[in-house]
Order: sequence, then structure tokens, then C-alpha cells
Amino acid sequence: MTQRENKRNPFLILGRVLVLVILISAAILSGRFADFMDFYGLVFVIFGGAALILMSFSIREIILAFRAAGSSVRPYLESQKALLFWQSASRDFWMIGVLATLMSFVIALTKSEGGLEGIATRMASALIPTVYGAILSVICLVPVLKLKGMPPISPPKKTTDEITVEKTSPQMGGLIPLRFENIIGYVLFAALITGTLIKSSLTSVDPIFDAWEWVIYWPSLLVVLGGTTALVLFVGNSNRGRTFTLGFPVTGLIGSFMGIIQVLLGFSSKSIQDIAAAVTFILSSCFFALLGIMLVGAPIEDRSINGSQTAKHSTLSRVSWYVFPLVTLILLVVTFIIVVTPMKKTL
Amino acid sequence: MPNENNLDEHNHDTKTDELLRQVLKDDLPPQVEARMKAQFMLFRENVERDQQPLKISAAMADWRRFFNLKWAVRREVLAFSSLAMIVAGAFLHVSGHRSAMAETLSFLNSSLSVAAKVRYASSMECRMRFPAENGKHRSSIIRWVSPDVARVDLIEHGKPSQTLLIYGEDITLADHFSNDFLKYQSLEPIKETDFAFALEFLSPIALATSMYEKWKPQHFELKAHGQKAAFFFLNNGEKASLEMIVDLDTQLPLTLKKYSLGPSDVEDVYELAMEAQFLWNEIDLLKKIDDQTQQGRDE
Repeated sequence: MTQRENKRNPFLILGRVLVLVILISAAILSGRFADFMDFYGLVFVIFGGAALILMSFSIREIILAFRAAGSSVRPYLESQKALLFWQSASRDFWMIGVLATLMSFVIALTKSEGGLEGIATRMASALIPTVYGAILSVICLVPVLKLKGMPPISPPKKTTDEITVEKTSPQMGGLIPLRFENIIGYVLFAALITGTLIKSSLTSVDPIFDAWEWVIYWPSLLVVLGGTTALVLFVGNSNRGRTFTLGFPVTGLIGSFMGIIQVLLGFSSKSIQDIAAAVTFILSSCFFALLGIMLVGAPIEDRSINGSQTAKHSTLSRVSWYVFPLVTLILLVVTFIIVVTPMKKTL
Repeated sequence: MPNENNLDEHNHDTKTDELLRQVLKDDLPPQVEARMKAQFMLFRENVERDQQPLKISAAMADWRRFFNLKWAVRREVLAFSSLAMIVAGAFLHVSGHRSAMAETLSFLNSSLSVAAKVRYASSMECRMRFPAENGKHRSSIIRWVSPDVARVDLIEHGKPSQTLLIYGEDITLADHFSNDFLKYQSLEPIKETDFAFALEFLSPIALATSMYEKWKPQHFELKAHGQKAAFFFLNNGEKASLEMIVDLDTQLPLTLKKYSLGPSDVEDVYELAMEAQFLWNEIDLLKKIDDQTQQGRDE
């Protein structure tokens, strides 16, 4: 029996469905399933991930990637492009999951419903979108593994015409012009962020503060934006997105470390006010750095690779994309612990 | 014969080429060959792209010209701007830029600290006043002797008129005028008596739980040069707001004011419904209760 016949074996398919049904049933019967349900969070992650994908790829490239994932043999270049797409999609879902968590965390603080208990519960539940993002990210990694293991065949003579997207010239400074799909992606992403903030303002009965006030937190915005601009000017090579991809997390991390130092000093002086200011600075720095990576760094790098200026994502970029959101997540958990742990002396 | 020699050489070259092709074909795995071809394709693509005249719109051409000409100047401006942004951001943060989120975090942590401190308190005396009609007021005294022993007195004309005594699971209500005693098995019937107001204050755990679950935090204000803070809460269920003054050194509430919607419920006008003054661990409550009991007997 060949591998393909193996896959079509009805008993094997039935077995897989059965395992899936058992897993879902176990999750529902455990009674804790409701704790992991956040419908809006799921919608945010799915649409946000789609928006990020559209920022980087054209519809044609997306269709090609899906075809490549579904077929067993594809031309080498085509499979490489598909590989790039699925790697980017995996990264996008991971990052949007963390961004959704960060925003949910802040929105949880703005709502007073349920008293202190309600706020603490909502802050803890804010981590759910990261779970969704991680699951979708892993799902996108399946085609990556498949494409990496796929036997390559020689590219056809006209592969270049079929696959290559808009050509650019070094004379243009290497800037990749935005396509229609990319603009749609940016608009969708902006609508999603704005919609989430508007929804939080409208649904809160007695808001403690407006989430917009946190979104436009000037100290973090200025430090992250200024730091990244300085880094890009110093290093150059901004056209490929790598400097932006690296610049945003580096400045975000610097901001976070500054905040962490202030948190530690706040602990020593037992000043919750200093600690709270530092935590705000940390979370805002992470937020702006994440937004910068998602809106500027990653799409530019993806588009430049699609334009065949560089062969693949750089290792440093990959580290930034996966490690920085993880650091943000850890800092978020630390913030939660700081907030719900009573101090000996307040304010 | 030169021609024959050339033919021989040609045949020899062809054979050598064929031999080399076969040998190289054997040596080169298909995966490597495909990758090599892909690299050639990429290389050719880049070379062709460089050689092709670029077709761009007029607007894009204008933009390019502007970009190329002004780049040097813009670069300096950008460098200066980026440094200015970093300095401004750091300065704003260090100078204590007001942030609603930071204030909320402080408020939440402080509220939780106060709730935790109250939960583990052992003894307390709370004097409560309830404004009544014609400018008069009713008053009450709540005392925690230990976490599960509490006494609540309703005061009329300076003397206790009714007393609620909780001793573990024993709940007793005494009327000092009629000398009646009523025993209860639970606190549920107390809701129907004059002591309903005191249910939130009957034990440290009851007060802390109420703070944690029922009261919706709104904002806080520092007072007395940072020695005290006023915490403001809302309770939509009871249509009431709460103002709690907390001593920041002890993290315990000093006063609590409860405001309720006026009888007309018009325009969210809140009126003072209750004022409570707390004394924590400052007196020996057991001794004071004994003294009062003795004084009552003597009278």
C-alpha cells in the first residue's frame, strides 16, 4: 500500500475523526471549556492574522500557497514561495495572538464590572487569544513541514513569469510598491484595532478609564519610534524590512528593561505608583514595538523576498518575530502578578 | 590528413563531453540540481530586472526625484528628530507623565492590599451614623472582638437599644427595652431586621469579600500629603457610591461614606446615607465591652 492509499484508508480517516471527537468531548465534559472561550478574541485573531497576511502577499500568492500545501509535488520555486507564505502566516497568527492578549489585558483594566474580582478574572482571561494565536500558528506550520519534506522538481522555463510578482528596481531604493491586497490588509487591521477600542468604550457601563488613553501613551511611542528611526538611519538597509524588524523589538526591549529597572526600584521603595508607571511604560513599549513589527518590519521583509531581492527571512528577523512576543507575554504575566499581589505599603 | 584529424578531435571531444555529462549527472543529486537551477533563475531574474527600463508612473517619478534630492537633508532632519523623540519620551516618563492606566494599576493594587489587610484584621470598632429626617441621625457601633466574634449595638439617645451578638455560629438579637432575646441559626433572617445594614461589616472576611466582589472601583485621590488616599467605588445593585479614606501606612480604612440615590432618583443626585469611622487595634475591645457591660449592670 502506497503512502497516498494509506491516507485514503477509511479506517484511518475514521480513527482520526474519532480521536478528534474524543478530544473535543473531553474538553467540553471537563466543565472548563467555557473558561477557554472568547468569541471576540477568536474573531480578532483570525481577522487580524488575515489582515497581516494580506499586508505581505497578493491573492495570487495566497492561492498558490494553498495549492502547494494541498498537492504532493510542486515546482521548486513555487514550493519555496509557498513555504515563505506559510512561515509568514504562522508568525502572523502568533504575533496577533499576543497583541490581542495585550489589548484584552488593558481593556480588562478599564472595565469595573464585577468589582476587583471581575477585573482580576478578565485580566487572567486575556491570555486566551494567545492560545488561539498559538494554535493557528501551529496549524500553519503543518504545510511548512510538508513543503520542506516535499521532493523538489525542476522549475519550468517560465517559472519566473508565473511566480515573480511586481518587479522593482534598485534605482527605486528597493522600495516595494504596495499592491491592492496590501492596502486592504492595512485597512482591515486598522479597522480591527479601532473597532476593538470603540467596542470596549461602548460596552463598559462605568469605565475606570478610556482605553484610547493607553493607546496614545506618548513616552513609549516617542521612545520606540525615535529609537527605531535612529537605528534604521544608522544601519540603513531599511528597504528590506530587516532593520525595521530588528529596530522595533530592540527599542521595545530597551523600553521594557528601563521599565523593569523602575519596577525593581519601586519595590525597594515600596511605591506602587512608581511600579504602576513603570508597568505602563513596559506594556506600551511592547505594544508599539509589536505594532511596528507587524505593520512595517514583517510586511516589508516579506514583500522584498517575494520581489526576489533576498533569498529568505533572516535568522535575526525570525528570532525577533517569535521571541519578542514571547517576552511581551511573560511581561504581561508578571504585570498581572504585580497587580494582584498586595503590597505591604501602598502608593 | 588535417580534416580527418579534426574529425577525430571532434569525436574525441564529443565523447569526453558525453562522459563528463554522465559522470556529473551521477554526482549531482536531483535536489541539489533543482536548488542550483533555482539559484540560476533568481540570478537571471535580478540581472534582467537591472537591465530593464523601469516603467513607473509620473507621480512615482516625481516622488523619486524628490526623495533622491532631499534625502541627504531629510536624513539629517530624521536623525535629529529621532534623537529628539527619544529624549522627549524619556523626559515625559521620568517627569511623571499622567497615565490613566498607571493610576488604575495603583488603585487596583492598593484596593487589593487594603482588602487583604482587612481580611486578616482581628479587632476593630466601627461607629456608624445614619442621617434621618429633620436633621437627626441614628447611630450604631460595630465591634469585632476576634474574627468570629462580633457585636453590633443600635444606639438611641446615647444608649444601646438593640444588640446583635455573633459568637461563632450563635447569633443572638437582644432588645434592651423589652428584654427580649431571639436566637438565629443563620444570618439570613437578619436581612429583615434593623441590623441589615451591618451585614457587610459583621466580620473581617465579610468586609473584605464585599470590597473584593461588590464594589466597583472608580478612581482614587491622594490626601494629606500622600499619607491618606480616598478610594471611590460604585455599587449599581444598591444604586450607591462609596468613598473610603485609607491610611496608607497601615493600609486600613479610616472612614467610609456611603451615598445613595435620592428618593426621586433624578439626575443621579447622591445623598449621604451612612458614615462609618473605624478604629483598628487601638484599644482593647474586650476590656471596653466588659466595662460597658458592667456599667449597664450597675445602671
